[in-house]
Amino acid sequence: MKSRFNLLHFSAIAILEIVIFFLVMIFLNIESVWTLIFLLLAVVGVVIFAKIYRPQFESMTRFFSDNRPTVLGILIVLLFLFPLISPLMIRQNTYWLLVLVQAGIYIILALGLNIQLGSTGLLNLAVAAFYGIGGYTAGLLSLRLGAPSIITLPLAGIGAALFGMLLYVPLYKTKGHYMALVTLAFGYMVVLALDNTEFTGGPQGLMAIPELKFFGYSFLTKPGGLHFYTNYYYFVLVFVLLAIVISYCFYNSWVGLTLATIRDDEIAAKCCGVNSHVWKGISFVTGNVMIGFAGAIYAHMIGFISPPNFHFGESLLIVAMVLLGGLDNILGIIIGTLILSILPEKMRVITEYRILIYGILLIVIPMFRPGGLLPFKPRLYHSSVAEGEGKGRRNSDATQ
Amino acid sequence: MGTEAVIIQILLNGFMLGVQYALIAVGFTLFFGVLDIINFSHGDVFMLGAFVGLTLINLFTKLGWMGGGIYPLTLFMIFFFCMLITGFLGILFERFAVKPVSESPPLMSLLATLGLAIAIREAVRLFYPMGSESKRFPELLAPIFAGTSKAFEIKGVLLRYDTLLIFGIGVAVIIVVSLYINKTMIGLGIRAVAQDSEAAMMMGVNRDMVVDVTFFIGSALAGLTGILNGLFYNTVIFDMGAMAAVIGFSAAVIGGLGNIYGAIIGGFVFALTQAFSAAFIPRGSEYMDVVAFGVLIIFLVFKPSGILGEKMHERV
Repeated sequence: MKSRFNLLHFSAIAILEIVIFFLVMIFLNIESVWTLIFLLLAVVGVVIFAKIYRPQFESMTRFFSDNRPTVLGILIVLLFLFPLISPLMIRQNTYWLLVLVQAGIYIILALGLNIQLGSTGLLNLAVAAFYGIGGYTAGLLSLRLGAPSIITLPLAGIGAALFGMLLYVPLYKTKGHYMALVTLAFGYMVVLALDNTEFTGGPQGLMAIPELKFFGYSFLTKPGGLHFYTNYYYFVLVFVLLAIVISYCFYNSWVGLTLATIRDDEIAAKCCGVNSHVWKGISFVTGNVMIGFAGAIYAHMIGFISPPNFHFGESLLIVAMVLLGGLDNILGIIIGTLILSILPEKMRVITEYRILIYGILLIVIPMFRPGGLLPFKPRLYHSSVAEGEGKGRRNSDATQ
Repeated sequence: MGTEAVIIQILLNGFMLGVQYALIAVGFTLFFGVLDIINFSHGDVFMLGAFVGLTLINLFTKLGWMGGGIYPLTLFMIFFFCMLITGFLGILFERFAVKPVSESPPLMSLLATLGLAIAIREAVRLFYPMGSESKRFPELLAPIFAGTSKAFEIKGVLLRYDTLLIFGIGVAVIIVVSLYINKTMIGLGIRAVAQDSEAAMMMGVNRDMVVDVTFFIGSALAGLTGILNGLFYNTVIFDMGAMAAVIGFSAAVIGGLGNIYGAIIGGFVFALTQAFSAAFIPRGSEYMDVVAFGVLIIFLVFKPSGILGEKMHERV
C-alpha cells in the first residue's frame, strides 16, 4: 500500500487514464444531442453497475485511492499534454481550450466559495460580486495606471479581500437567512454601483484590458504555432492545482477542523474556546482572495468585462457548482464544476432550451441527492475512529 | 414645486411601490412560516400573474367584452381569474417542486426554488408568444374614469385616479388577507403550523391542506401584484420576477421572517427608502437601489432579526 513503486499498477492506471482521456476528447469532438443522451445513459449504467457489484467496485476504488500519487501524477501529465494533443483530435480545439480555461476559473471560484460555504457554513450569495471586484480592480489598475500583470493579479485578490472585510462587519452580526440576505443585497449593490459609475465604465464596462504579461512574455504570443489560449490554459492549470493544494491543506489541518466545528455547531465550538468571529472572518476573506484572483485572470483573458458578467445569476451558478458537487468535498466540487461548466457548452445544440433544462436539473437533483452528487463523509483525521460517527449531523442545517 | 409637494410626491411613489412589495413579501413570509423555506420562485409567480392577466385581457378583447356596461364585470373577472389561476399554479409548484425539497438542508431547498424560478422564467420566455420581448400592458383602469376628470391636485401634485385605485386594491387585499389569517379557522391552522407544525398536526390540523391553502393565498397575491405592477408601469417582461423576488425577500426579512405585519411594514419601509434616496441623493434615481440595499444591510446590523421578528434564542 505504501509508496513502493509497482510497475504493474502503474501501467494499469496509466492505460486506464489514457483511455478515459481520449474518450473525453472524443466526447468533446462530437456535436450531436445523441452523444449527450448516450453519455447520460452510460453514467446511469455505471451507477447501477456500481450498486449491483458493490464489493468489486469498492475494491477497484480502493485500488485507485491506494495508488493516489500515481493516479494524480498521470492525470496532471495528461492535463499538461492536452493543448498539444487537442489540435490533432478536436475540430474546434481553440474553442474547447477556452471552455476548459473558463472551467478552470470556475474551479478556482468554487474552491474559494467552498472555504466559506463548505468548510465554515457561510452562505455567500455575492460570489459574483467579489469575482467582479477582482476583475474590475485588475482592469482599472492596468487601464488607468498601466500597472503590469504581476501587480494587478495580487492586488485584485487584496481588493476582494478588503471588500470582504468590509462586508464581514454586518455579516458576523447576522445569522442564517438574514446572513444570506446581507450577501445577496451586497451582490446587487455592487452590480448596480458598477452599472452607474462612470469611473468603472458604466453599463459598457471596461474594454480592451491588456493581456497578461510576465517578464516581457506576452500571453498573446503563440507558443509553437498553437493558439494563444494555450498560455492561459497552462497559467490557469497551475493556479487550479495551487487552489486544490491550498484547499486540501486548509481542509486537512487544524484550521479546517476548527472551521468544521463552527459549521457543525457554533455554540459548541464557542464553548470549546474557538473564537468563531475571528475564524469565520479568516475563512470568508481567504475565500474572497481566491475569488478575486480568479476575477483578475478572467478580466485579463477576455479583455472585456461589464456589470452583467457579475450578476446574481453568476453567483447562483457557482453556488450550484459547490452544492452539486457536495459541500467540503474537493473532488466532488471539481466534478460538479466541470459538469456545470462543460455540459451547457455541449448543450449549445439545443441552445434555446438549455437554461430551462438547467433550471429543471436544479430542482430534480436536490430531490434525489439532497447532499449533492458526492455528499461529504465524516472526516478521517489521522485515525479511523471518526468513521460512522456524526454521519447524520453533517448534512443538516448548514445555514443555521 | 415646493418642499411639501416634493415630500408628497415621494410619499406617493413610496406607497405605490410599497403596497406591491408588501403583497409579495406576505407570500415569502407565509411560505417561510408553514414550510420553513425561502421560496425564491415566488418572484416568478408574480411575473406569471402579469402574463396570465395579459392573456385574459387578450382573450376578453377577442370576445368583445372590453367595453360598454359589462366592463366593470370584465375587470373583476380579470382580477378574479388571474388570482385563481396563479393560486392553483402555486399549489402545483408547491406539490411538485417546493414541498418535496423542504425537508432537505436549507441550502438545497434554496437551490431548488431558485431552479424552479429559472424554469418558470425560461418557460415563459420560450413558450409564450414573443415571450422574450417586453410587452405593453393596457391601461385597464383608465376607462372607468373616462367621463370624469382623470386626476385631482394636492399642493401642486397631480394624483391620478387610476393610480389611486391600484393603491386601493392593494390595501384592500392586504386587509382581507390579514383578517382571513387572524379570524378564520384555516387562518388559525396556518398560524399553528407556522408556530410548530408537529404540535399542530397532533392537535388535528391537516398540515398538507394548510400548506396548499397557504401557497394558494401567497401565489394569488403575487398574481394580483403582477397585474397591479403591469398597470403601474404599463409594461411587463419575462425577467421582471428576479428583482421582485429579491425585493420581496428583503422586505420580508426587514419586517422579520414569519410575521405578516412585519412583511407589510417591510415592504413599505423598503419602498420609502428607495423613493427618498431617489429624491435626496445626487443622481439618486440611478443609485436608489444601491442605497436601499445598503440601508438594508446596515439595518440588519442593528436589528438582526427584523422589525417584528422574534428574538432568536439559541438553545444548546
